[in-house]
Amino acid sequence: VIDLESGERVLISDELWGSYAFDALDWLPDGRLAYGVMHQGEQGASPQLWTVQADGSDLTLLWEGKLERFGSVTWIPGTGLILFSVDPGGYADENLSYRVISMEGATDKEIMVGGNPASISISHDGRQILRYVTRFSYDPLRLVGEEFVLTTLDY
Amino acid sequence: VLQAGSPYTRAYDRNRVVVAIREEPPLSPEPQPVYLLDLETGDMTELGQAVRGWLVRVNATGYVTFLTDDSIEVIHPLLDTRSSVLPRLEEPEAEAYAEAAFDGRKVALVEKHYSEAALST
Repeated sequence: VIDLESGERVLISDELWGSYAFDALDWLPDGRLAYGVMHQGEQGASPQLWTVQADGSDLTLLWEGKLERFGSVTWIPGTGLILFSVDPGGYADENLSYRVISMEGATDKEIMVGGNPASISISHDGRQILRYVTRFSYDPLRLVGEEFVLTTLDY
Repeated sequence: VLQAGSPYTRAYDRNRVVVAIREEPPLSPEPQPVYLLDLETGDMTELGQAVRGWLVRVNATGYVTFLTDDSIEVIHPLLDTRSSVLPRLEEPEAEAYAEAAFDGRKVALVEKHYSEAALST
């Protein structure tokens, strides 16, 4: 985190970035950051979702998975919820599991499956999500379908 | 070419979007002009030249963040404010993206560094 007035820099994490896209980080309205990393443990790498104050304090582990990688981490406007996506395997946006978890780490819940993590767009009231969804066949690999999907959130 | 709905377009508010003009080839390293486009009037205001236009960010309070060839730009086009900071990437191969805090006073920077083995594959 870089202070734009003083230039002061605070290193939040130097762990392996948790996303195969770029989007596993977002600010929360209370000034904290939410971000995903791949934690290198004794059992291999596991995805972890953390929150932290901008000065590096109050580091809190919100969620930990097993073998997945993150697609994206995004605050849902107007809510106390974080939307994150995890890839259950391979490089397939169509299999991404989109989940919500409270900013304080209450139990997470899957709300939809599929969609490019870099193309997620959430309405300003936090009620609707637009996703760009692609479908592939794998022998040989080719694109067989693409569409934009508008989902109304019910949480 | 404006490609609505793609990663190159970000909603700003009910009447405006932020767009990075797509260059050919699609993954061209050339900087891409970033505009605030008013959907009612068609007015376009250039905010700067971004590298990797798909990583332009708009936060909930209206700050637009992107990387240029040598800086991180944090702009609020309605408040007419602009801050720049050098990312100080230690390796030329590093990739980065940035996102401004809601108050526009801080920016979170992600730097991705690749090992030599990863770069060679």
